Amino acid sequence: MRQPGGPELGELEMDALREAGNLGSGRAATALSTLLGGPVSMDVPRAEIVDLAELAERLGSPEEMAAAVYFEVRGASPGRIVLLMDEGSVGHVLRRILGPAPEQDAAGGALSPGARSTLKEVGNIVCGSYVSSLAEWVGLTLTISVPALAFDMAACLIQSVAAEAAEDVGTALLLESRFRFDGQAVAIRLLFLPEAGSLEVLLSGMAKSTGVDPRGRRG
Amino acid sequence: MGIGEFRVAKAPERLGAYGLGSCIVVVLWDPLGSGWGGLAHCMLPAAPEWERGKTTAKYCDLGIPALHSALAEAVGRPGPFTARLVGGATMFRFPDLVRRSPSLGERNAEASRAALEKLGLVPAGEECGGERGRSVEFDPGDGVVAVRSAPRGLRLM
Repeated sequence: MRQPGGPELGELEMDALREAGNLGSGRAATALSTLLGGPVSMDVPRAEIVDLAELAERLGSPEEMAAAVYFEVRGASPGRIVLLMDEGSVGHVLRRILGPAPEQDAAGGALSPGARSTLKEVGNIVCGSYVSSLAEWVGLTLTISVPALAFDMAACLIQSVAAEAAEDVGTALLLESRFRFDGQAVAIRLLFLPEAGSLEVLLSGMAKSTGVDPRGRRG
Repeated sequence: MGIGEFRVAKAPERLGAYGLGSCIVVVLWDPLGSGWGGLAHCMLPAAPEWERGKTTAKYCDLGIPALHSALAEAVGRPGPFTARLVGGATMFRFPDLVRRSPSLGERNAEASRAALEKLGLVPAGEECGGERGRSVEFDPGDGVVAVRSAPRGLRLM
């Protein structure tokens, strides 16, 4: 592990990351429309850098169930990306794709194979759209791994993600957005967790493509 | 108690930690009836160099001796104490990744056992590993450690 002390992000860098989020959201909405069989619109995401130690407390109620689809980001700026959906949103998506009452494993905690592959596909679409938009934005090659899926207490999922990122001395960028279909809003949270050094690579790529020089903006 | 915190308490006070995934909780209890016990909520196996010397339970190798000292001070003797471990789950299993084995949760459990062994302790009870998250509550009065997992899967009606 390296000593912490990543770059400070100024408003211009945050705007650039938000812009990549916007592009990714637009792309994800188009792809989700095909999966869900109807028009999907997506709000402009809210983006912020969050403290890894505070992440679980801030996002995860221990009693709330949530689904998390977790990917490794590979390439010039490796890290992780995680799609989080609360139980209500998961239910809404699954009902839409699998029918009114998809069969669930009564043993607890487990989702049916159909539900699992559906959620992984939603994760692939949303996270893949975001990562490919970001890659284009900064002029780097980034790909995502196959997904790992878990459905459990939200706090446990977020804690595990945050701990792995903390071990890599990474940073957490939280994007919160909502997509709407069938007149209902489905809230999604996207956590992008660049490893130590990755954010600097992204920012210098961004500087080249947008003219923002991150080195002039460290605090 | 949040990540990185450790505390000792006397009955009727209770201690708890919620939303454990790969994190691990170490419970130490005085079985000789003083009513004292303690809990540490650890996130990573070992402190990196720049964190050494800090008083935190963020790392198993720092948090467990710190908890042990705090309990010894509260009770007024260095033992005997009963140790229990909870957590260290592997919430996400990637099918194609070798480098995640052992997982962070498994490494946390192993580091905790090693830290306890240095103090001459072997866990009297473990609820570790697996793929499910947990919450834990501890009553220093009777020493009972209650562990809860998510009560159900997803039900759509």
